[in-house]
Amino acid sequence: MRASVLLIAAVVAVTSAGLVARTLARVGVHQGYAPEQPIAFSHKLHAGDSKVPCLYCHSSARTSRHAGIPSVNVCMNCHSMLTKQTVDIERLKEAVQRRQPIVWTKVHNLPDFVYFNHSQHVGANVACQSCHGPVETMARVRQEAPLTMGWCLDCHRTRGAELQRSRMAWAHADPNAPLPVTDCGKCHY
Amino acid sequence: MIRFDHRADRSLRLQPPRPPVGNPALGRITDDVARPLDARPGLGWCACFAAAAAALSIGAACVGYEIATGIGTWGLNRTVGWAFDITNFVFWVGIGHAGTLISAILLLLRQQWRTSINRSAEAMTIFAVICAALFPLIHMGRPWLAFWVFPYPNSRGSLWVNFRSPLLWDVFAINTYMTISLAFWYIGMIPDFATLRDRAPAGLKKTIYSIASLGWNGSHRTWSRYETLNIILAGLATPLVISVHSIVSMDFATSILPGWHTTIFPPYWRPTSRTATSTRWRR
Amino acid sequence: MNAELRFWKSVEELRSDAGAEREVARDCFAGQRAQTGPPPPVSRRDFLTLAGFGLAAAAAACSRGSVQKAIPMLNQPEQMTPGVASYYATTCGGCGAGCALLVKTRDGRPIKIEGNAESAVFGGATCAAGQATVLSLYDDARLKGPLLRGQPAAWADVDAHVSARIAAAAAARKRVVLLSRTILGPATRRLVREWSSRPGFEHVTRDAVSYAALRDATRASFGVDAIPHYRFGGASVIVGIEADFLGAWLSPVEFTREYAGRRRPESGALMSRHVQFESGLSLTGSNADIRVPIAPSEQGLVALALLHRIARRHGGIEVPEVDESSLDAGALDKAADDLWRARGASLVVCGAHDEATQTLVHAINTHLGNIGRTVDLDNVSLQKQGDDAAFARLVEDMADRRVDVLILYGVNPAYDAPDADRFVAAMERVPLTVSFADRLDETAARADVVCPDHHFLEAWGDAEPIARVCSLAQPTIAPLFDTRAAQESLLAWQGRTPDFYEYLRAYWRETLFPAQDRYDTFDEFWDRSLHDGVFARSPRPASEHRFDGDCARAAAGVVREHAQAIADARGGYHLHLYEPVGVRDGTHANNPWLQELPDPVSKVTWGNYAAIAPALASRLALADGDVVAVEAGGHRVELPVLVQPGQSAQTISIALGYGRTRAGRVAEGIGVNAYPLAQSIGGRRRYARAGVGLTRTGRRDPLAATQTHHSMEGREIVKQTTLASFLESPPPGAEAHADMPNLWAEHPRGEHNWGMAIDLTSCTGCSACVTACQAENNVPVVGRDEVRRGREMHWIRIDRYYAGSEDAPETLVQPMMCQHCGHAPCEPVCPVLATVHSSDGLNQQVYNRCVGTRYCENNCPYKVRRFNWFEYARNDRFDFNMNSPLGEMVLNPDVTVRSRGVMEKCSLCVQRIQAGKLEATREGRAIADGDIQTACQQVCPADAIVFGDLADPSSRVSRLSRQQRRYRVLEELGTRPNVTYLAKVRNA
Repeated sequence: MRASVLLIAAVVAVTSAGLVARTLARVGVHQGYAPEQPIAFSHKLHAGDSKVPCLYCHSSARTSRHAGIPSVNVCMNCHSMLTKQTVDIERLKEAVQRRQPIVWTKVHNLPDFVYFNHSQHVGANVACQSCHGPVETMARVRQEAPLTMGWCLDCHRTRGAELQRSRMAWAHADPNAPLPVTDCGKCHY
Repeated sequence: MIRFDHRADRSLRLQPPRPPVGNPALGRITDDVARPLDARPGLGWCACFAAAAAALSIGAACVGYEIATGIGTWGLNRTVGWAFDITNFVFWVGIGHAGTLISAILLLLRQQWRTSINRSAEAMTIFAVICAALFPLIHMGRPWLAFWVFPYPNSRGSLWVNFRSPLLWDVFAINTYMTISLAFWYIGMIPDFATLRDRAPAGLKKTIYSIASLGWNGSHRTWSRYETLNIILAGLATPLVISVHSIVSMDFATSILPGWHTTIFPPYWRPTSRTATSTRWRR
Repeated sequence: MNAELRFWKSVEELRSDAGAEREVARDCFAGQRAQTGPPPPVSRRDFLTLAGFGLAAAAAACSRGSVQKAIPMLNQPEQMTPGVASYYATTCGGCGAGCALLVKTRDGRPIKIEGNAESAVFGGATCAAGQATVLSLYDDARLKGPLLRGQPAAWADVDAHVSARIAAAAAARKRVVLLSRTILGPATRRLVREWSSRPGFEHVTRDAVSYAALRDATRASFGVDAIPHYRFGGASVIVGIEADFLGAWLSPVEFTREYAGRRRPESGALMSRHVQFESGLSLTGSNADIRVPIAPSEQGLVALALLHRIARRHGGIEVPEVDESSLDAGALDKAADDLWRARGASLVVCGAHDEATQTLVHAINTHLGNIGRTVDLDNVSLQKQGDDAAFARLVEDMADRRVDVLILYGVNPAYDAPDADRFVAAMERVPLTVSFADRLDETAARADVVCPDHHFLEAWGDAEPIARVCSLAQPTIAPLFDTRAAQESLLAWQGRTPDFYEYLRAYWRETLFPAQDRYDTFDEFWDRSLHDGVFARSPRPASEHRFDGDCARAAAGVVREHAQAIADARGGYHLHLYEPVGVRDGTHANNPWLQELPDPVSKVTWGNYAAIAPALASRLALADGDVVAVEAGGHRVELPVLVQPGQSAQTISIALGYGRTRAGRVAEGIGVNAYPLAQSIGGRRRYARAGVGLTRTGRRDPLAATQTHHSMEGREIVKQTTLASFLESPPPGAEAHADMPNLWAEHPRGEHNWGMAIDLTSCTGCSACVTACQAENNVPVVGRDEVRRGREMHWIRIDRYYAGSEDAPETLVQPMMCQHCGHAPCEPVCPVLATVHSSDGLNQQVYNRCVGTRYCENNCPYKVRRFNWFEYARNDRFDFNMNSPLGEMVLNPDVTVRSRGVMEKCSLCVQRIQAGKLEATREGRAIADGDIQTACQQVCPADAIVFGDLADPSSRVSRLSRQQRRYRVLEELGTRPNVTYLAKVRNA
């Protein structure tokens, strides 16, 4: 009897400790965050059904550290010619008329001490979906990845390293050479 | 809530300690020793406690201000060195070692007279180590992240601690020393808890003492295990005195600063720490 | 229209303001239209959109867990991508030198100043003050709009008021005077000419620190009404007499660049020799091969003695004998010998404020055949055109009520005139005074109307600092406040369209476009000039200039003055006032970067002091920080003492530019104003005088010095040799410690191995790198008290050591920053791996991992790590630029603002390395040598710092690291630094 009580106590203790550790490890991780946006823009409709390329709207992802949310004039490139009307499209047009920018809620937030450059990753042919998930199926965008340092490093250690080696072939062919992709100073400065 | 003993009325206020005169009976001695725990604290005690608590709150307020504002409040003007905080750390580690010396080494050397002071010596060790551990913590720029010095699995892919750093070993050493000292202190108290348990009337106090005394029944078997464990712990604590202070001294000695960078530090610090005055002002 | 641009900390805060929508303010990204003409109407929303992306995204990251907003632009301009920097060429307005600049803007805000490498004169370098001008753009003390009788007013009302009064004055044939500093821009000069050519209108030029004596002497000697253009690059022997030409004199960036170009020991005999005669130990003097301390009153005697010696060698010139007993005849002989040997390729420059002395110096240069070679009188300097005599007359006229309207443009005589009280009294007798000051400074506070001028980064303009060398200035940001270009005010008050942009274009079309033949259309020419920022016409060839100066009279004058000074000095001391390298003439006093910039020689920050010689200090039992009272000409100032080795024995040196009372919060209570101690002789300002009293007050005011220990303690931290011994035998010991055994394994070598080489022979210690680093890396300002505790945050410091005697020490300087050791002592001690080695040889500091044990700082033998003792950003205790939403706009968005409790240090500008790598990868090429420049390297006018890849044996840094002069600091500790120093070689 005494042994079984001890056993149960031990199991409870270990489980709760595990749960506490798990909870603590998720502090500041907002995986699954899917805030409501001022305009219910559907990536599923645009990127999925209509197959608009990601970089058409997020063009600065090619050149800048920010992917950029398209300015309203980019929306109006198409919507000035499309006749379909919904409440959300009305909101968009209203914004144009009132010359009032749209205040979106940022979904993917990195801390200030992390330098992330979209163009660097787009240039290395990392698909947008690798980090953002299947955006083309999302009616409302949610944070798919945990965006933790460990998650970044997973890719840096495998794909990043591979890319680096292939790119560095011209420079030197030492297979054991350390790679800058996992340097702290790659992202933290 | 702990209820004080029913006997604890005004007439039973704690009397000043009685020096043992003649050859008192063991029961009398037990009464004398246990009396402070049975009675309400006296005025003098309350005054001393209030003074100590006031001093503590001043310290706590200062530390709170320091943590809220930044460790620039230490006033350090030789910015590359540690200052009062780490000096104090070394000082308290030294105090702690003096306690261990009395309790453990004298036990190993079978010095009977130690029994009269070993409880307070051990308590001194514990509180000195707590004080010592406090100072590295509050000298940190970001003490709320101090847990990063412990190696634990994390979501940073995983990011471990630097096993080359003397400061890390310092953390391990202090923790080990704290654990052993705590165990040593507690084991020594078990028979006394049992005595208190036996004296306490039924109630919460008794329950607490019962748990704390771990079923001590005063039999020869318990006494013999107690003795063995004490000797083992004393044997463990004694080399720790050496290792802890060696590691503490290496915090300084592994740096390449002129004046600090010297191999004599570990042996030099131990004897000085043993006198419990092992503090040099280091800027 | 609401004039004031609002700044906000969160978008929520902004949006909660119901009035925000109605508010239309100035936008923040004028740069994009810089090339396309006049600004289109841009609303506040554009700024919003942009800043929304930049600021909100960056700032919000601190507040973990809160909802973050992203606001895209409504219409994104084509040339602008959020997060990508653009560069615009412009011209510096920080001092009177007019260096060509390239301004980095990010998301519409200028954040960093670089020199414009297109400029043949100034190169890609700037000085510390130039670097800091970007911060003065975001100075909260700037006026937010025009003031009429001290009250905020609309421009239309101000214009109506001023125009009416000017018209009335003109109608009544009364005088309207425009008092300005030297106007560098040819277009503005024409505008001012047009303004003042009308009857009754007048223009007087006045500089805060006068160069009138030099200009008058040049006119008298050669008939050229200008300051010669000195060409230090052509000089093998340079003799300076109290001219701090590397620090603050005339055009320090250009001079440093040319001077350092001739300080290459490898070139052997081509290395120049520099002799300096001066009283206080200036930056220039500290670099001299031979420095001779003299009293300020002896400047003329030195010139005369040199002329005498040159004349003797030249023959056929009569120069009166002079009593040289007080001078160092040996040094003079040697200097004269050197000069004579290098005739035609030598140069004597003099900073004396005395026409006679300058005349003698002109004579020396003439007899040495330097005119047309190192002293260019055909392409003169247009940098300092102040006319002291005209100003003195103006004050007289004002006092006699003969001036009806006084317009003040870029001048602050109520602060910097020696007889400021007289000026202020006279100003009260002028019925209308109008000031263009950007803040309510000492003079503007007394003006009836203040029409704040743009900051130069907001304005169109041009400059011609050296004749035929022109540059353009364009706005890099739309005006932050409701200010207006001074030129536009002048245009408006002439009843013309207040559009200086068109005026400027018209000027360039009419004057400069015909002067070139490369471009067929003006638009092409304009676009090119605007893009390059500079337009230089080929210099005029040297022509004959006959020396017409009256040497005999000058000599007599010098002797008389010296005798007078000796008589005055009896029982007193000599006083020497100088323009410091940081705050200069006081214009930059409210700039916290410059206040915290350690003086290149004394290393004192935040305030001025009375520098006295060590012998004098021990005689008077004075020590650093003892407050003394200095009395001269009825004025008395109290300030702390600095015991300055090398100081002339009886001379007290005090920096100008401090003690501003109305410059802003930062400048308040910092230092004392030394201008009143100057004197006016015959209307000409003199920054030296004799017979000055020095008394102890008994108070103490500890100096905030960043270096208080001046010895290397027997360690060879700075290696030094002479040119002769260097050429004879290469310095030994370079390899002595290369193969020290080490306990740790070698770091594996990656693709690159970044390193740096610093040439101590080139480095003058001008400290431009300190400010450049501060701007690039968001280094906080900590203030006077914290500097006193040794807690300054500069990532790069210039160590200064003295060697030799106290009276005539040799000064050694050494830029010191993280050495990026191959075996860094900081790395093994950090318990949490917050400082680690990168694959490309960098010692990285990871702020977000740091818990602040400070063990690394403890263990760094170079003492280059900096700890955030407090929160320096957004903290009222540190009320500098990082505590105001306006000042925060200068921050580099690519560098983290460090929080309290973490360590930081030089990262070798890792953000620039990463950007350079990214750009090369994107273009599918390898990084070329020189692609990546650190901020300190880019700014260095002496080209003393070279950054590059040590893994590439052909890179410049690799070649320098193999040079014979190479050594590494404290190499004996086995740290294997990636920073190599090249030993100092003196040509003595």
